[in-house]
Amino acid sequence: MTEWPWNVLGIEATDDKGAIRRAYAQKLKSLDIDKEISAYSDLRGARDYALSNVGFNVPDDSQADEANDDDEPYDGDDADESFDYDYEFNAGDLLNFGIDPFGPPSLDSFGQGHVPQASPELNVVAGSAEENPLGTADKELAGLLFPGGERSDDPMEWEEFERAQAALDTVLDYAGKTELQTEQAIDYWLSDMLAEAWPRSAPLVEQASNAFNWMREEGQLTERPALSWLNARLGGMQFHEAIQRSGHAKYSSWKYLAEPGPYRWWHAMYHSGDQTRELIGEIRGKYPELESHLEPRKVSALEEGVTGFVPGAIRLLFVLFLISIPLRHCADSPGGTVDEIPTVETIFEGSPEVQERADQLAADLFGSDATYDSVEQLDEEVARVVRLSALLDKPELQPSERGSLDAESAVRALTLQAVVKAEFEDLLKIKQLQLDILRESRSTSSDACTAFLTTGRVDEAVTLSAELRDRERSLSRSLLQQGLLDRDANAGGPAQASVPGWVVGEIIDSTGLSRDAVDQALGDVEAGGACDVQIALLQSALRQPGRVPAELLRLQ
Amino acid sequence: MLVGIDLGTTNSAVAIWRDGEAELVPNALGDVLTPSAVSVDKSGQTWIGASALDRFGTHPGETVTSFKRMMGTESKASLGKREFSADELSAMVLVSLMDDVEAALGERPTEAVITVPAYFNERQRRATRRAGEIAGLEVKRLINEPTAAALAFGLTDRGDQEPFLVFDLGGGTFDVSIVEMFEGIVEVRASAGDNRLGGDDFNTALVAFAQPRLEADDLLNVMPADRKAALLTQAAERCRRALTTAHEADFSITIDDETFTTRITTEEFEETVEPLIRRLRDPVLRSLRDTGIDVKSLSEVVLVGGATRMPVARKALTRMFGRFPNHTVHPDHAVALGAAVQAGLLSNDQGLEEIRITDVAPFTLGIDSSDEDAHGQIHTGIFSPIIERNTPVPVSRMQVYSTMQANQTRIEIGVYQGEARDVRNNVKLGGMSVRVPPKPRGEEIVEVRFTYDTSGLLEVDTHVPSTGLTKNLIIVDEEDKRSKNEIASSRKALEKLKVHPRDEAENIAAMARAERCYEGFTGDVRDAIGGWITAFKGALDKQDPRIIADARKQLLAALDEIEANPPL
Repeated sequence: MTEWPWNVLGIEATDDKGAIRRAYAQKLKSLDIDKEISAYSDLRGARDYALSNVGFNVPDDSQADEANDDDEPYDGDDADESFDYDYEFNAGDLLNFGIDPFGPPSLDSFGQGHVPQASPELNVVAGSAEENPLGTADKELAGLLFPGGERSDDPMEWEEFERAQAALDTVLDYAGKTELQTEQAIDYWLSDMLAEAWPRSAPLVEQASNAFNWMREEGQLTERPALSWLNARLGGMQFHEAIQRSGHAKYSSWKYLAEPGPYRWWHAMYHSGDQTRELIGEIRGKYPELESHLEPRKVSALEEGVTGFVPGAIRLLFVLFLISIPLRHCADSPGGTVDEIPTVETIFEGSPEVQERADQLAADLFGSDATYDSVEQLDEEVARVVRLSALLDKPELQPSERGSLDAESAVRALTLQAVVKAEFEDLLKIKQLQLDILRESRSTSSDACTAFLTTGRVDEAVTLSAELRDRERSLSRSLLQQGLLDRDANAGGPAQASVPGWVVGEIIDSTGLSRDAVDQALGDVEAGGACDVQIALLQSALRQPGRVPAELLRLQ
Repeated sequence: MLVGIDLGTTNSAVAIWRDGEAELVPNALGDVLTPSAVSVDKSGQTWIGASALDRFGTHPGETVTSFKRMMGTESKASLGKREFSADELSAMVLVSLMDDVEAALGERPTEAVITVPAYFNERQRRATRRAGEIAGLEVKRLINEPTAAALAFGLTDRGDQEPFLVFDLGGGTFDVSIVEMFEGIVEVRASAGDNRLGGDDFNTALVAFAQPRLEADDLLNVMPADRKAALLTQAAERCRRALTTAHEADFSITIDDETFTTRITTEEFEETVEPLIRRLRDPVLRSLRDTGIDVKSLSEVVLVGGATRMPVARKALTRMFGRFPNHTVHPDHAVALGAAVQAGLLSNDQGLEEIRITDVAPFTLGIDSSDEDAHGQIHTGIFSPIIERNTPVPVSRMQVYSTMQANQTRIEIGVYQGEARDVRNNVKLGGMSVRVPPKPRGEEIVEVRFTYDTSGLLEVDTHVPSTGLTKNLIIVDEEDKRSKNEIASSRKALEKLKVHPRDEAENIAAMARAERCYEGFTGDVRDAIGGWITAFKGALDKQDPRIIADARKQLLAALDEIEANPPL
């Protein structure tokens, strides 16, 4: 007879609120709620259930009908309701506006071919215009946001905007004077309408947001879907405005990404690759609508850099980053700013001194008979590296600063990275070169070797032998002539390669490390012993290059 | 002996449950409110309460007020030779209240119910508990201030009440609670608030508005910062109080015999504090939304807290609720009286056995989690709620979490409190690490159970079903890890401070007040006050209690006269 919740409350099923409360109070007083947590929770649940179902608790038809009547908002007689200024809002309206009140907001639910079933209307129940304290402002606003009752992607005309603004002023002014409930109804109505009418509603959002303090709900668990959407758009507008000012920390990255044109690897000279990727991530995550301002080719090229981030590719990324460092030096010195960098050419043209240094550099990089002009003829982008280095290689710089400016590391990285497209013979030469640099670094210190592995830069403490440098020079030159000192040409190399068991065996034998340690070092260039393992790996592979998979050698 | 204590931002009070009634206990000056102010000079001499408040203007570097706002933070106040944390300063006020009870009843309290703002977070609650321990009190329970006020309100007629709203705007904190009373059950349905909004913020806004108009910046800017702040804050407080009854009031300060004054009208004040008034709206709406109760079905709006005396606040309330609020309870006394009722309940006093209070957790509690979106991107730092805010306490809830990576051997559990989706915007309460056997992704699970009790103590239990491993964590924050010894050493250090003998309290307070007045007036009036001070010192030297009492009475009467009618 007595089922839940009545067995918990200890009474027969009833629709009497007082009886339910009395039963609850009596049971509660017999509990020590601090000790009987679950009993309290059950009791509370039973009471809440019983109270929320008052009218349906007793399966008596007449009573249920009576209770039902109380819940009906309309009794069918509209005349009686005409003086009732009840601003209603219900989930049904939300759904009409394309907002799922229970799900996270998504771009798809707004503004993409979605036609509302009815233009939203502040629900003044059957109130005539004279009695409505808002006059016609609410209808006017809705009409302007939804021309002809339809959603529209067209921005408002100036004249329309002025009328909408005036109507919004009236609505907000009234909301600011009325009591909480009405104010809240206006708040909900307005936020849903503005969200649905976006982007047409864009110029009105900020004012409404300030009036209702919508930003205070931002990021809260209980943030309304419409607000979550509007707050993100508002944030996007503010972000878009802020980032176009040259003072913004990521201004240069934004400017670069917003400029149309294909991606070139040396673009990294004008902006920090890391920062730019960070900016893309931020825009993707928070302000997806701003992505339409970005050059898609640049975005996808930079993104590739992120997803293709395998140990072998670290060097490549580092070169991009390395080259961005001179840019910062330049930006810090008085008279040079990030914006002026693209005019490197003009500075270069005007300075025979710098041109001379560039020729020296070219000779140092590609052999004694190479000149800057000859490099430029072969590869405009490599020439740019040389030019920039020559320009920045000022004698007054500290040795540590000079270290970061060298074209040598940049060209070396391009050389090592040419493994993807190089002829087999050149490929072996490149790998041999890599092995020798590793060995020479290793003989200096294991730190120097690790540094080369992780950063692609030869440590300052390491002096490469003249023989090695000569070999590198001719190799770089040969690759330059083949057009292979180019990031784009070498894109799309293998992302991973498997190491055959016999190679692993040889590595274990020559390094004396355990199987596990070798496995770990192969996967992580920063792991202990990674340097020795890499050296042993290259040794084995170069001794019998035909026995190892091509991908292993062509791994950047 | 168990007492109820309201440890407020501006004023504190102590009350006891006696003979079926809650009763406030007066301090040595005969007042039931003791200003929450502490002053310590270089020699370790200490002033607490009204005398300390009077020293705020004359000795700003040695005096501190509103330290409740520092509760649960690392900030310390430097007074005299030592730095004091907010819990130590609060402990000093508690000791002074305990002295008052001992003097009035002949028995020193050993246990207390202390009130905290409903919207105090875990850390702030813990700091309050520590303050009690340092003062040598066993804190039997912390209860929420609006709940205490509701108790005091409800017991005045003891009838059933449909849901009513308690609006508690104090000196430093703002709380809203929706409470229902029936059949002797006092049920808090929801609480919301802003623990950084109160009368102090209205002072700050007023200072910002009035200071440029004083045209005294040349003199102000060469002053030490603490003195300048004290001068302006006190002027704002006086002006704001005057505005509760008058349409216009003077904002005036005296520097080196020169008085600077600007007249503030009610309209100007209302405009200045408009942004603060708007902040009152969100917690009200939130509590209503959480309970699903609409404004019209609230039976009453009960005002508590000194700042609700401001006409600008009452006006805003009247607009918000479309009716006039109820101010039958004393805004400054209700909370302490409610605490005494709770104390009576805890000691099973006759006449109270039929009353039960149930409260809710004011914040959402949950853990740090990660999730993967449709594009395969992993998002970390997502707050996963376990106990939602406004759940009745005590409560125990469990949720299951699974591993994110293959061969994951540990699951890190960070426990957070707050309402933001991103855990970084919530308050971290603690953390633990659970070992799981390596398995493919998502195949290992851990059950996390949160148990939250009526005093706001959170316990976290984890259970890994595959290994049967369980782990328990009682949330303690860094500060709480301080051992009992450290609390004892804190207590010892405070005991070393010299407090005036209780029978001298009135003389000390009179002297501090006279000195404040001396600083605040200029010219002839100042000279006159100087003369009274000398005369009073002379009377004190005679060491005859009757002569001293007469001299004090004369001095206070003269000061009353001058402060009531400033001869400007």
